[in-house]
Amino acid sequence: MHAVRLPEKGRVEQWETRKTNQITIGIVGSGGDGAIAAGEIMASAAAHEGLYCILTKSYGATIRGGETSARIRLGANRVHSQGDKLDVLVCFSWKDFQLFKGELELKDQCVILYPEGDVIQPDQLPIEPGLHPTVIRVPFIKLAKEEVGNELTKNIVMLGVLAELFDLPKKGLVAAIHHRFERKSKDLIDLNLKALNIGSEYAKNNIHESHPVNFFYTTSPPKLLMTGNEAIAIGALNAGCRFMAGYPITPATEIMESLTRLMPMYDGTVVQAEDEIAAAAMVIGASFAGVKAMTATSGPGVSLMQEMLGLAVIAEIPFVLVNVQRGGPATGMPTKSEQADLMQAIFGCHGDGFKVVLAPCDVQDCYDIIQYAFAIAENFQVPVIVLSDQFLGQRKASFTTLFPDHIEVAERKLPTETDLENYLRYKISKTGVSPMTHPGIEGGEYLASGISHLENGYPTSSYFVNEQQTQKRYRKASRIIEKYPLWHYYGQKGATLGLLGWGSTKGIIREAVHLCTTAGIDVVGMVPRILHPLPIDELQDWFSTLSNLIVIEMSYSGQFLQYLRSQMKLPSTLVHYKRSGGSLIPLGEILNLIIEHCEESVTPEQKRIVDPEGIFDLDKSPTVSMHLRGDIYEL
Amino acid sequence: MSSNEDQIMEKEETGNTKKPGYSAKDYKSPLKPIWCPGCGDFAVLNALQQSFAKLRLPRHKVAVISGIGCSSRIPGYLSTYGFNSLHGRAIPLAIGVKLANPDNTVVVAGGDGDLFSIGAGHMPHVARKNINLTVLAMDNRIYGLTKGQMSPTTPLDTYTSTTAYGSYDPPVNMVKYVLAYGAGFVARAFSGNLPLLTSLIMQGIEYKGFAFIQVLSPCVTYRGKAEYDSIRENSEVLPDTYDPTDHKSACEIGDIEDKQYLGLIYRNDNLIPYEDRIIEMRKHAQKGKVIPVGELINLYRT
Repeated sequence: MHAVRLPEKGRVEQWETRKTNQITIGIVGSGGDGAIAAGEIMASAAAHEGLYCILTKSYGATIRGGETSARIRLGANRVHSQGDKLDVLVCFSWKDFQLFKGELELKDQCVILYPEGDVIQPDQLPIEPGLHPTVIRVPFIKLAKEEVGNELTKNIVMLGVLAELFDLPKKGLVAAIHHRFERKSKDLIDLNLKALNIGSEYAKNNIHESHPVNFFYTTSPPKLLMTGNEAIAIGALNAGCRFMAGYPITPATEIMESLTRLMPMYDGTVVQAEDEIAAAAMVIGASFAGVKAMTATSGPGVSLMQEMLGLAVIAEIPFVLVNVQRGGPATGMPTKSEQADLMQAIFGCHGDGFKVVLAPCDVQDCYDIIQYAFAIAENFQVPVIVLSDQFLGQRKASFTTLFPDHIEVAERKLPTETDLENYLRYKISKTGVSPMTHPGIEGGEYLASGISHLENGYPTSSYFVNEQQTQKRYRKASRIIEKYPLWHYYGQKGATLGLLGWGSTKGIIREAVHLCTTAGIDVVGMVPRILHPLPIDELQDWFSTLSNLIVIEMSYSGQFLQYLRSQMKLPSTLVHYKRSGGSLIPLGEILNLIIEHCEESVTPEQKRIVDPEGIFDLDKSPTVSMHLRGDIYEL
Repeated sequence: MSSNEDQIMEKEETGNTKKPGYSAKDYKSPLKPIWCPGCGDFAVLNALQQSFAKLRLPRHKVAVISGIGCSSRIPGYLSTYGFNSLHGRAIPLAIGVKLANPDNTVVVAGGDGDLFSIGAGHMPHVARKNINLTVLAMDNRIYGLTKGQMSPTTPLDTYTSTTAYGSYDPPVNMVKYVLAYGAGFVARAFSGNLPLLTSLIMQGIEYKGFAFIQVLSPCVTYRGKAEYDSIRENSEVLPDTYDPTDHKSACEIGDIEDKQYLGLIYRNDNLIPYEDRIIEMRKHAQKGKVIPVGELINLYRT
């Protein structure tokens, strides 16, 4: 007997099989159990067979060992968020599972797989009371050790079991194993394929219990699979970035790691600096010398770079800074996501320092936003901060493609010969932008300075000149918003219930809007991708059509709402959904808020579609998406 | 730290309209230095202009990078490219400038506080990386721009505005530190000996790698006119017989603190500059087929 049905009252014995085109699987274990590796192979397999997927990884604070979990959501149609509750849990260690309290919730009728030898009995599982899981015990270690011949392959054995039980992409798994181990050795490939096969044969012959999860899909051409950090790295190269300096910091390091590998191929330079201050200084130096340059860090690194940001502002040096936000303050939660560096990005600089703040909203958008960041930095000679977060930066997502040619590659405004006759680097202009030379250009020699300066760069303490130069720098703002209307709307135009959030919260906003629209509940979502300067007119116009606004963010103090309040008048009925970082915002909670606040009462049929318990079926209707201005994505 | 900057007004002199050539005055900007009469920094400025002229460096191919302090005003007085950046950060900024385009000559000018207090953390790394910069550490043993506070090279028992009972912080020995960090070119000069200073700057610029020159540059306002005499008394030019390629003797020279030896203390021509390593690395990375950047997305196909 491998499966144990938990005792229950008033339930039919046979499960009603839930046919679904999407599935969310959690894998938990200690480091060494291979939970993350299994998740990555599964993601790669899914993408290979053309499935959409989002893979998030969660670690404790340990370097090796310690608790790890992978959560993977697969879908035949696009998936935008991490998936609320798990359909399937594979648990190598219940002790570790308990450390993810609040992060890995189970659906009522989920399937739980765990090792046969575990001392914890099926009726003692440390899960939420009242659930009705199908519990299956599998001798993962025994199979790996005795049948495959290597205990370490237990995670691959497990993938074989999952593939058989839930009809997961088997061909994809084979391809993924080849892909993952091809650089190592053929023996490793064979060993892992054997493990996969043994797992799947075991399931076929020994696990006969019915379970409620039935995943179905049809294959389509292979998809791209990457993390937000990788998308930022290749997007930066595409934008012409040829200099990067950085200092390792979780969860941003993969950007530097990718660039150290790729940059030299294109005659670029990556420097691992001694600290974040030096990294930022090197970037400013390289940019001053005429090369598109960037750094990537997380909140603590940005704290160290604040003074340099101010220098880039006053010396008008193009400068791109990526902040992959993590939980703060101080060391906070390096491996977890948060959106609480917003105020730091917008206002964090002594003096009045005008900076641009952009925020990508999904993995593909990381590729685009970093290119917009370079375009804005070069066109307007300003520092641009890209606010990503751990959820965007480290999750792996699959999608059909990216568009390398749809964003203009900006080149710096060089002086004309006439400009050079009496070259004034900081010449007051209508646009706030003045021609910029760099070492190597004859006749364009100038003094760049962090000190308040005259039009020619020479120091001054004149109130009058300082006011003029400050005005010049702030004049760039309105033109940036005009030229870069970066925001997305989702849902029904004219809906009076609005959802507003930024960055990675777009995933749940988009899914909430989609489910509501399917159910006939009118909701409209808005996600600004440019946060400073804020598209005030656009937001104000939109607010005037709303009777209810729900603002969603992952910041305990509600930085986004505070910022909005300081800039404009908000709708009178306002709901604020906020929480600190660490755990991703569940879609179900947002759906509950919508049901609570929509003007007409929600029918039971609508409620069935908009099911906050998390049995979302995205196959009910075509995706409805509305882009008033901005980019067009696959729909 | 530049608290009195607001009191300093800089004046423009009438500009020279002739097309610039390669004489020392062609490297002069129209700005009049704010330094006090008798300041050692005038000599450093003069020596820099002469060095550029003698090396016939085109003005547009030179960038002089500084931080904050009296000495850091120097880029403003030169007609080359210049960057007067943040306190302590001239070195990393200069690294960016140099690596972006190694064809340009990049000189860092900073003071003792700039390079050995607030910015001291950058020194070991620029030295070990061996980035082809010339660093002039204009050492006046005081914070001049903020009006006379103890600096990292202020001698023990000195009365300054922040050491009311005499300083009790042992001073930094720049040469010793930089030798320990692995610098391949280390020299000490004195603003009172212009020919030696100019010669060392020229050698430093021509040296392929990180060149460090400590310049004893007295602050007459906060350390008194006697500082010149005291340096003359306690310094000596290295004899012709001295072999600067011997690291051991260089370290011995560095250890001596009661006498300041002037001249080229250490020179190692066998070190590989960082830029050359980058070029090698690029060659390695470009072996095989390099795909166009727009096609990088295909690396992520499954």
